[in-house]
Amino acid sequence: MRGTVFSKRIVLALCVSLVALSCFFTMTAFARENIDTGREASISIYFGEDGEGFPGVSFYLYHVASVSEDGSYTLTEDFKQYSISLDSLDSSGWRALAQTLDAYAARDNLEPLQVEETGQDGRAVFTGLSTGLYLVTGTQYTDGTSVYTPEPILVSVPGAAEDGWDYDIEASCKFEKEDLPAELTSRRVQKVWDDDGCEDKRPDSILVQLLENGEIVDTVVLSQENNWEYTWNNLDGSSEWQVVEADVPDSYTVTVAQESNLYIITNSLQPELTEEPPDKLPQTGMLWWPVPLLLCVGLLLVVVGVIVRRKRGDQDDE
Amino acid sequence: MYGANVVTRMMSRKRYGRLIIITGLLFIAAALILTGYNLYDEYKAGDTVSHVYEILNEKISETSQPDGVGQEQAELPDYIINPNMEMPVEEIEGNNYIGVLDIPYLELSLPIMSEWSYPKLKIAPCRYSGSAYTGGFTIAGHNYSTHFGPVRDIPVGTQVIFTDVEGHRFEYEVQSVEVLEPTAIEDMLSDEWDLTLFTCTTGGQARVAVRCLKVN
Repeated sequence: MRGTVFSKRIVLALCVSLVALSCFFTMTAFARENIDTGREASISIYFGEDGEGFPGVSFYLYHVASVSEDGSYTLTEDFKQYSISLDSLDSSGWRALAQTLDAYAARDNLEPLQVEETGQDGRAVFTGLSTGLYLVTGTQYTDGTSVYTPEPILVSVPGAAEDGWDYDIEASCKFEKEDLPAELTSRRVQKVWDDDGCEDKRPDSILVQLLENGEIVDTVVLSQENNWEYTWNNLDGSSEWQVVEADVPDSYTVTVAQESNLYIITNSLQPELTEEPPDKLPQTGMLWWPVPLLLCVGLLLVVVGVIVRRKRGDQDDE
Repeated sequence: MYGANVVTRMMSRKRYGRLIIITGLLFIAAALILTGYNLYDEYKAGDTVSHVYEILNEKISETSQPDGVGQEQAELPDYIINPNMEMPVEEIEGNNYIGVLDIPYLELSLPIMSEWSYPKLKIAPCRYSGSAYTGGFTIAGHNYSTHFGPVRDIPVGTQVIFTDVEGHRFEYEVQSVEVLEPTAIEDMLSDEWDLTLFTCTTGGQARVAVRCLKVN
């Protein structure tokens, strides 16, 4: 997309918090102390560029899941309606999950737990939190020449620290930067099925909704007929665009990852429902082996029959 | 009385001999019928596969544009941005095809179906697992002489080309030819190889796997 620059800003605190997510699942191996689930926690979000914070930007905090002492998550009432999985995610998986939940939260007008505005330093701080997994989303910031759209992030509190757990997390969000005036843009969506060997469980089609600033503006059908993809053209470049899968097929979970203008909707079959793989490769040969067998047996029988008949003829002669 | 018994025994032996000959002839006839069926099946498969290849190849030519023509700016193909994407398909006569496979050394050009089943394998080779975009791409084919029969004797170093329905070309080189047990599914689907073609041995008791790696 011409005139568009995708700026990436990775701040250590975000990495630490994302790594902490995966650490939850392995913490027993490191014999880390149990999480104090009764302790108050906080999340500080930084939104800025080149050390200059963007002030006056609203950030929204959603409580996605609570966490137990041993680090396992339980989805909250608001989020357990969505077919998502928190298991075995890597950093790109967490990023895609954040984008997925952000779009659902926008579409369904979920009530945020807290709303905070960034100060002059570009920081928004959420305090008095219980431990758990949180989704943080923000609104766009405009400086007159560019529009900055913050990426949603999932933050787990507490996060892993060298000597235990950190209950006061500092994170910084990546953002997408687009030059003004905004030009028309396009968005594409592609479907990926993660269900090898169980293709028969897939539905014939799925419904995908396009959201403009959180409002549904179009719904399209993806199926084999359109090769599970669709492109929207001539979209307002100044709007925030998202896609969601309207109804996730039974037994599948969903993530929507964004790569530039491309949204990748992945439906993964729940592991417990995957079928046992077949125990044999397909038979791809013609039935030739009986031919020599039938011929040999046939010829043998003919010879035996002739001998038997000849014997009778000899006895007749005698 | 004795003479009558001897005559009866002789007659029964004569009938017995005739019965054996007739049974033998029936066996020979069965062998000939089976041979005829196999030859017809092979001829039909060859006819169908070349017909589908022509249609698919034409569609691919229409879809893919020559480099630099009408393209102001080269865009990254989808499969590079998202290698896990579903392979696009073209529907021909009720079946979905993901592309064509060419092995110039064997003068073999075949359409490849998106999913496998026994009826589909009688029409064309089918994707068994993986995709051209991610590697571990495994294609099963019948051992008809017009399908994967000739690949059993393919030499190492032979060029194999797969072109998807959007005209993206993937070139491979044969690295080895293995014979695997029908139950060796894990070995067959090894991620070590970018492309594997497999078919049955002549007797159908084992599978021949042609292992290939990408060369570009």
